[in-house]
Amino acid sequence: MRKVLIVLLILSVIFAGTVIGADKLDKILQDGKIVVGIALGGPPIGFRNEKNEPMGYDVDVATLIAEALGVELEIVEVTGATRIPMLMSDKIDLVIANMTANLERAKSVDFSMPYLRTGIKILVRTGSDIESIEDFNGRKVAIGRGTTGEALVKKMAPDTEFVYIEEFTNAILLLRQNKVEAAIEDGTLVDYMAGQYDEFTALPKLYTSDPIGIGVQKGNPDLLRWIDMFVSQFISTGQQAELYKKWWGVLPTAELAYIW
Amino acid sequence: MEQYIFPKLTSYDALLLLKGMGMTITVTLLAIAIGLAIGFFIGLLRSLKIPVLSKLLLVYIEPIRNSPLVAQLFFAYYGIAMVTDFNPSAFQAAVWTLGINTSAFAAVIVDASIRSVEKGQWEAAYSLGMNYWKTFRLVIVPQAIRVFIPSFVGLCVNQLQVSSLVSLIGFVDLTRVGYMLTLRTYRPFLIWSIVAVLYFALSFPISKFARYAESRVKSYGKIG
Amino acid sequence: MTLHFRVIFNNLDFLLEGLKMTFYISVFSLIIGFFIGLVVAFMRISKNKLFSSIAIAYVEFFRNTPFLVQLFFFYFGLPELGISTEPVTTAIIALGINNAAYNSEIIRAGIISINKGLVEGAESLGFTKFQIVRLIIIPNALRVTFKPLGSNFINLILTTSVAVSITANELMSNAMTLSSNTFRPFEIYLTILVLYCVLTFSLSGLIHFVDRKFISKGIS
Repeated sequence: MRKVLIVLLILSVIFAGTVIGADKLDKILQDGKIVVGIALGGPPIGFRNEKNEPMGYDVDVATLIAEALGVELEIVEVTGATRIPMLMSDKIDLVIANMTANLERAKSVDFSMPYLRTGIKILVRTGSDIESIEDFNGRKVAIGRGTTGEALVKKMAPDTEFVYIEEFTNAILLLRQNKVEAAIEDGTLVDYMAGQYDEFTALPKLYTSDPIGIGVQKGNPDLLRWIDMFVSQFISTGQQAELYKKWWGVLPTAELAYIW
Repeated sequence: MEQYIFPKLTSYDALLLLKGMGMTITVTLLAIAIGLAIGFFIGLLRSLKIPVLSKLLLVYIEPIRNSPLVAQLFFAYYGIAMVTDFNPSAFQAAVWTLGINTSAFAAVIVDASIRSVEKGQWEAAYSLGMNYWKTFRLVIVPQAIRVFIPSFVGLCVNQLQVSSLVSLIGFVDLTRVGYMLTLRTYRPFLIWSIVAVLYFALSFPISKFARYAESRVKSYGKIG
Repeated sequence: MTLHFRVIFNNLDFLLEGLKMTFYISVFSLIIGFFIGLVVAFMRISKNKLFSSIAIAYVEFFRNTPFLVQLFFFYFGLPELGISTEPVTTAIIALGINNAAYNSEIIRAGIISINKGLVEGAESLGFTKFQIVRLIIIPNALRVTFKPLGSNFINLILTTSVAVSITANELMSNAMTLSSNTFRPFEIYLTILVLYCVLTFSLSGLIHFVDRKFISKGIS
């Protein structure tokens, strides 16, 4: 073990490039570029259009942030499983990937004020006899690795057969191919898919009320403060409601708080 | 609500597939170059059979050959950056991990190729007053290369296939493009068929060449 | 830089469960891969043009496309034709079919290497064709091919890790799940690398031992 560490230390000396100590905000402004991790796993939050360009609510939020900072936006695709490790290991500056701000994750990353609010819902094939999470026991369910839904199912229906997915879009494929009997995700994704296809139904019950926040690497108080202020104004100016309407066709049902 | 699912394939997708193919070729070629450079060096050292060093080199070669490339990639991309300041991008992690992986296999091939030449030839060359390098260059390499080329080309074919695993750390190669397109179009049968055909088009000519080179070596051996 | 290997010990059960699944997938795909490989090898050397062409196409296709793409095709693509299988079953079938392509080439070489005189001798003794295949060709071919088939099997075990992409809940898959919940990829993937090495080293030790003790005995 020690030998490995020594080798790694030598490697780290050779390849060392990042300056430790400076706030990410300085680095972003200096580089003129912000690298944002976005999940492109399901419309309308993040997906690709017919030209394969990233689109969606989260992409729009990232674009607004880059515009306000006056820097270029670089999008790096992440998944539920990779977004926090990638932030912690400095591969991205921000996570805007439909990430629920919870206390467990907050031990590893800092969260901005919520820029969206949603809750866990269940998507089933129309006509399914599944009525709640408890019915998952003994059945196959598509669940995102490292997501809020995963934690919920582990607690409420531990005998579920977990079929892990990285992107919610794959849940649609698996449901269609009868490989799973249900999928669990945020209502913002579940309701949208149920609205798109008659073959799927979103169960009405909302299991949680989750604040969705922007993830910032720990130890960057300046960047966190700036992002918080951005989110606050994003809400207070009505931009958030407008963006919500653009993607979901209705005004947001949940009120978001703002300070500034 | 607007429809955000785009099942039709367009010229944009053809372009993206080409780009993915280009990245697959780039990563594979760079990895093979790195692998050949390191592998040649290590294989050469191994062929000298220096007592302790030889065993130490095995400590490099064997763990790489005996652990899965997927785990190596995940370790390099997600793991190392967590505990050191060395923070590779997906491209760097892909090229270096695949390159180092290739080097372990290449080392074994280089070693075996050099040792395929009879010992007597070394002795004969030395007795003619040639030194190590001269013997190696003029006597050993021309013979060892016949053993080396088919095995090495075979390795290249194999590394081209496994380069698809770099898509699992998010690097946009041909496989990743296929994955992206299935997420957008919901037409996995069509997309994965196309991707498979594209890989086949890249790989088949090279493996045909490997087969050809192998048959040449065999017939050479018979004549000699 | 602080390392917390506690995360491994706390979740050992979960990782061992994955290891068990890796074993399970490996053993079943080994069996499938061996028998398909045997059939393809005989088809390949058959004088029937159709059989040998099918065998060649099979070998070339599976050796010249990435296993990951094959796996995605089997898992996501085939259901469009009404053939839908679970992750573990898909992994076993795909691995078996893929490994068979490599096995068949080794077995074919083994069959070709058998001394013609042996077969002719058996024919003169009145053995039927089937008896010759069963009693002479297969045992002798297996003797020569035991070690290369063994290294193919080791390769197969390493390749089970690709099933992480369709979440077969084997060792690699569980490691990834653990990493996405604990954010300790360094410790987890390092442990996994060592675990795979231990597994394959002991297996190749076993293969060498069996080969030396029982298989190659009598052959110089």
